[in-house]
Amino acid sequence: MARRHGGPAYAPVFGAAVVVSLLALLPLGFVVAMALETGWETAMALVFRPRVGELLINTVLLLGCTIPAAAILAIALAWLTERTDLPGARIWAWLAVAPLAVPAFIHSYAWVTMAPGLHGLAGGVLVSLLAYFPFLYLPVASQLRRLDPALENAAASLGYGPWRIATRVVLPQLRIAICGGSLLIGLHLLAEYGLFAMIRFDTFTTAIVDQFQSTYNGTAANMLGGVLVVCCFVVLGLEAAIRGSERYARVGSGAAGLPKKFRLQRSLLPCLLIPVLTVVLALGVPFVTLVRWLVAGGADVWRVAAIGTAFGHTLALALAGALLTTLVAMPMAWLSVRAPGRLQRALEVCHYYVGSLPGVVVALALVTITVTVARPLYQTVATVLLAYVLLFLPRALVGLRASIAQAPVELERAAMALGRSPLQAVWQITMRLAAPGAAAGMALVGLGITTELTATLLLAPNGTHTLATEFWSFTSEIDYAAAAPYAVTMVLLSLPMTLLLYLHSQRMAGR
Amino acid sequence: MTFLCLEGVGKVYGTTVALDRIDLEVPAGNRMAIVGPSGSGKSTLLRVVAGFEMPDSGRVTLDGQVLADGASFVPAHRREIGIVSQDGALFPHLSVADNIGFGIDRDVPDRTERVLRLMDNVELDRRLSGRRPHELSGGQQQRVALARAIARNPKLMLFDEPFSSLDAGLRDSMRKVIADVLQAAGMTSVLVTHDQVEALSFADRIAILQDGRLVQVGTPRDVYFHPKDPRTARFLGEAIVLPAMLGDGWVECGLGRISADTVGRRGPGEIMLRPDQLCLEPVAGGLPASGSNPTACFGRITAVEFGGAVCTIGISLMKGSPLAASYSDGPAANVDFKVRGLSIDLPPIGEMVRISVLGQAHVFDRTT
Repeated sequence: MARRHGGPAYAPVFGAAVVVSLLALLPLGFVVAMALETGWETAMALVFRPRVGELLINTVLLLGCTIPAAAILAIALAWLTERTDLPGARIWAWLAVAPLAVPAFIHSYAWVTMAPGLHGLAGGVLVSLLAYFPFLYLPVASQLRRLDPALENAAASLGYGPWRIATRVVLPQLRIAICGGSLLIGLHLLAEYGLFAMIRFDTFTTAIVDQFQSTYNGTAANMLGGVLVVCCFVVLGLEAAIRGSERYARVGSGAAGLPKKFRLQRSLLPCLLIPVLTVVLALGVPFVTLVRWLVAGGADVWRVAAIGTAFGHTLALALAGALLTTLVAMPMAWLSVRAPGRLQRALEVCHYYVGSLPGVVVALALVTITVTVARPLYQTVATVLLAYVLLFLPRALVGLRASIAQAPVELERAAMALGRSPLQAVWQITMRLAAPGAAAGMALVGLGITTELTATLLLAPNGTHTLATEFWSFTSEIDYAAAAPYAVTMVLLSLPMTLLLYLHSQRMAGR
Repeated sequence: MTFLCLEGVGKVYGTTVALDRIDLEVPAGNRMAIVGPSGSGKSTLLRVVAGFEMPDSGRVTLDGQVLADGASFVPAHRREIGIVSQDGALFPHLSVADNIGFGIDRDVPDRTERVLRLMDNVELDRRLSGRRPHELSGGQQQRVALARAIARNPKLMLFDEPFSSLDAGLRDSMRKVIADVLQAAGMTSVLVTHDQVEALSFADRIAILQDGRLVQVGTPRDVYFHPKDPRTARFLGEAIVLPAMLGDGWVECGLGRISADTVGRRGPGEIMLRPDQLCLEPVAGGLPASGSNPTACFGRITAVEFGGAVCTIGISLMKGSPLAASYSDGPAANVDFKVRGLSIDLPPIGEMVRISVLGQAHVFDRTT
C-alpha cells in the first residue's frame, strides 16, 4: 500500500476529473430533476400505464431471448474455433467477429429487404442475435484460449468425464467472459434504435424517439427515459450479482500450457454447419442485400457530392469527437493508475456509468438542458460532440488507462528530478508513452461516432448530414437503393475497428 | 558544515507510520548511506528528500534553502537534486544521448559534446549514444542514468538501490564509477540500500532505519563494531551476542575474559562479538588438564559449510571448558555460534579447537 497518493501534483488533476465527472452526471441528474419537476401524480400517471407495461414486456422478452441464444451460439463457436480440429479454425474465428463491422441497423435493413414479412419479437431477436453475438464470442474465445489445460487434466485424473469437465470446470471459468459479453449485448439492446425501428419492434428507445419526433412531448419522453435508465441499472446490477467475486485467475506461476485439440472426426460435418450457417446469416445476408441494391440502383445511387458531404461531416465529427473524448478521459486515466483511492473510484464510476446509458437518454438530457438553460448551444456541433464524449468516454478511458499503466511512475519522477514541472513530466513522458494506447482508444471512439445514429438524429444541427443520418432518411423513405452506398461506406469504415477488437482480444490471450 | 538537514520529518500512510520524526544531517561532500530492511521507510525518506512526496511534518533544508516546512514545499523540478533509481528509469522512447541530454537545455551550444563527455565520465562507449535503453545491459543502463543525473550538476545526488538489479561483478565496477564521479565533482550524496555490505563499503557515514525510526548514525566502522542493539548488530552482519558479567575494562562470558569498554558499568549485561574477531586453533590430544590455563576457552566443531571464498564453521562451546563450566547455570554454557574460515584450512567436524578473541567486545546499552 505504501505508494498511494500524497504527491504534490494531484489536486489540479483531481479537479479536472471532478469537472468531467459532473458532466457525466448530467444525464442522470436530468432524469432525477425531471421526475421531481413533473410531480409525483403526473409521473405516476405517465409511468404506470399500459403502454409502459407493453414496452417493459417487450424489453424483458427481447433480452431474455437474445442473450441466452447469443451465449449458446458464442460458446459453441468459441469451442469449435479454439478447442477442436475444425478445418480453417482461424478463418472461422475472423468471420465470427466480422459481423461487428456491420452496424446493427444495416443488419436490420438487409433482413427487411430480404424477408419483408419479418417483424415483431421474432424478427427483433433474430437480427439482434446476428448483429451482437460477437460481443460474447470475443471474450469467451479469448478466455477459452487462456484457460490452463492443467485444470482439465487434473479433473480428468480425478475421474471426471468430458461432459462433467465441460460443465464443472470449463464453463465456470468462462463465467466472467459470459457475464461481460451479456452485459454489453444487454446494454446495446436497450440503446439500439435503428434496428428495432426498421423491424417494427417497439422498445423504450424507439418509443422515446417516436414520441420526441412526432409530438415533441417532452414530459412523456422524459419519463420513458427515466424507466429506460432504471432498466440499464437493473441490467448492470444483475451482471454484477451473477458475476460474483470469486477468483478465476490461475493460481501459481509459470506459463500455462497449450490445450490439446478435440478431434471432431465423424461429427465434423454437423459441427461445420454451425459456423457456416452463422456466417451465411450474419455476413451473407447483409452482403447479398447490399450487392443487390447496388446493382439495382446502378450508377445513379452514387451521388458523389452528397455522399462526399456526408463522409466529410462524419469524418470531421468523428475526429473532433475522438480527440475531445481522449483529452477529457486523460485526467481520470492518469489518476486511476497513479492515485488509486476512494475518491478516484467514485470518480471512475461516474466516468464509466455514462457509457452504458442509451444514446437517446443522453440526447434527451442535452436537448432539454440546452433548450431551457443554454439556448445558444441548442442544435450546435458543440452539443453533439458533448453527447459523443459522454457516450464513448469508457472506450477512451480503457485504452488510455492500460497504456498509462505501462509507463512507470519512476519515469515521471526522473523527468521531474531533471527539471521538468509535473505537468511537463506527465505530458512529455507518460502521455508520449501512452500515445499508442490513446490512438487505439481514439480509433474506437471515432468509429463508434461514425455509425452513431440516435443521438446524432436528435441533436445534430440542421444541415449536418452524417453517413448514418443520410442512410436513415433514405430508408425511411423506402429508397433502399439510394441508402446502399452509405451502408457500404459505413461497413468499410467499421472494418478497422473490428480488426482492432480482434487483435486486442488476441493480445489479451497472449498469443 | 551541515548541507542536507532533516528535522523531525514524519510521514504516515493511512495507519502505517512510514517515517517517525527523522532527524538527520549530512555534511557537505559526504557520502551517506541509509540502510534498513525492506519496509523500514528508507525509500519514503529518499522520495521526501527528492520532492516526490510531501512530508506530513518536519523540515527539510538543503544548503540553507528550505525545501519543505509545513505548507511551503519546493517541487522536485526546482530542487536541483539528481536521482538514480533501482532500474535506472530511462525513458524508453529516447536514445541514450537524448536520455543523458534530457536535463540539459536545448539551446546550450556544446550540448552534444557535453553528452559525449558525460558518457566518458561514466565509462560508457561513445558508440552507444544512438542506442535505445532496451538495447543496453543492466550495467550500461545504470551508467546512462548516472550520466543523466549528473548532467545538471545537482547539489545533491540520491541513489535508490542502484546496484540491486546488477550481478556481483557489475556491482563492483558500478560502485567504483559512482565513487569516482562523486569524488571528481565533490558532490554530496545519499544512498539507500537494504544491502549492508554495499552501505559499509560505499559510505562515509551510515544511518540505520528500522520501522520508520532512525536507530543509529555513524561511520561504517563505528556502527559495525558498536551497534546500538542486537537487532542492528545482526542486520549489519553476523554477530555473536552473549550474556556477560561486566567488570572494570573487561567482561566475562562463555568465551572467557575479554577486554571491553564497560564505561563504568558493572554486573550482568549483554555483549557482541563479530565472528571475524574469533581465532581457532586445533588442539591435539583432547582437552588439556584443568588449571593449566584458566582463561583458555575450548569448543568442538559441529558443522562445516563450504562456500567458496567464505566458508562457515559451526562451533559448540565445550562444557568441560573451565570458564564455560562456571557459567553452567546460565544459557552461555550451550552457546553455539558460527565463524568464518579459510577454504583451504577447514577443520574436520568433531575436532576440538581453542578459541581466542581479538580486539574488544562491544557492550550493548542497557535495554530500556
